[in-house]
Amino acid sequence: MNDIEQIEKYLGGELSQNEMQAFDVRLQNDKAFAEVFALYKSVETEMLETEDERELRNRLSGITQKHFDVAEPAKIVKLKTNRTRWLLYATAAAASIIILLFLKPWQQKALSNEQLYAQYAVPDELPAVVRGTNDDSLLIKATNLYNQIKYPAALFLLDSLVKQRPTEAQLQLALGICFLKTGKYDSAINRFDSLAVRESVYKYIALEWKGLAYLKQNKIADCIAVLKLIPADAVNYKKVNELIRMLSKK
Amino acid sequence: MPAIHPDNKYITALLQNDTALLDELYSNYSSKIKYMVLQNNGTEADAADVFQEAIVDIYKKAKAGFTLTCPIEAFLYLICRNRWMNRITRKKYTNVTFADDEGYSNLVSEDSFAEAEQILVSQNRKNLIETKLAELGESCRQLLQYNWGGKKLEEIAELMKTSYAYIRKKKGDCIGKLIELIKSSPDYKLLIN
Repeated sequence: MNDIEQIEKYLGGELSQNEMQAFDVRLQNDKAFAEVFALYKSVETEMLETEDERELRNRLSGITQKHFDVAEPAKIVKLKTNRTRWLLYATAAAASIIILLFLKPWQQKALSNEQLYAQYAVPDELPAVVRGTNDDSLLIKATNLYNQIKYPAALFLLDSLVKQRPTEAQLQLALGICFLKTGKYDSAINRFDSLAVRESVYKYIALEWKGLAYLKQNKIADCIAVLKLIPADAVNYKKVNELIRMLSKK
Repeated sequence: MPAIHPDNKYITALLQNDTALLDELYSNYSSKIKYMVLQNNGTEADAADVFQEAIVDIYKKAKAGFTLTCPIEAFLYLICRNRWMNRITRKKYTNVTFADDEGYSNLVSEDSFAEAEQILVSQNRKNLIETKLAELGESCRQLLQYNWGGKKLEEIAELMKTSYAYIRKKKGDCIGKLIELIKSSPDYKLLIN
């Protein structure tokens, strides 16, 4: 019987009285064996997932998905081997081909609300900050996060920034978009509304975003009503009109 | 003994499987953790993982009788921060900014600090084991992961289309190899002390 076998039988209570005693004596006298025993116990303690922990993880993964924007549930299955990874890529490639063959996107089928939203709700980047005073460090961070589409993180910073600089319409708009992108629709619409009543170049852009906030929530009638408020001389009129046309076709 | 903090209700919720209160825990505190991870080279999925695993860590502590003596927000932050710091240090990122450290560190009680420290030690142990596990052959890795994940050796034998006797022997061999690999690491004492 090798050391590991002995240890497993000892911990599993499968040794006879005599064997147990011999084991204990060896543990006292054989330093290397004692070390292997300690490592064995440590590995099992750290790695063994008990039934209740497993259940907890399963329960939590639902809540986690509700509060975090993750495509896959957090840490249920780890893809570790190259073979599974390869298989995954192959499956993804096959799936894309099937989608192309059957959905025939080039035939311009009517897009779903979700697809329309994804196509239109693409924010412009905030301009890079070139000034370098300390006052701007928050702005630089917020701008970077926002441009990297890390909206939840940008939200915190933009919220503080807008409080410091309430007159800067572009930041207000970015904050509204962050609210929208993180599912805080009422706050988003409030921001867009406050911009839409003010004279600025963002007035009608804000209305467009308000419409998109409704679209995101599948409130199509509200969405169209808001978009129709945008006049023909607005810079985004053409784009918005096209969206109205596609929504009206449904 | 420091007084139990009212937020200990979340610890009780974990033990009693109170989903509504756990949902509240997420609602109240997940955004801070999200922000911290996103600020430090992480993604939202990383943040989700860090947050969820921190809760499992706290659950394990709770099973061993841990009670909370400081705001859960600060304790959670500390555990998540340690976990994330650990992860990014391994990836050798240098540009880290934990802006909330100061505020939270004032709120964490001394014994909670010690608990968070223990969680970190356990995580370091796990990291070492996982690094060495990756050096094992695929069949060993799979067998051990099945077993640690709660599958009985009989079930594994069935899954791997072989006999119980073979799997039992193989498991011993795999653990033996893993322990050898761990012993060859300069950090192996981490698992003994």
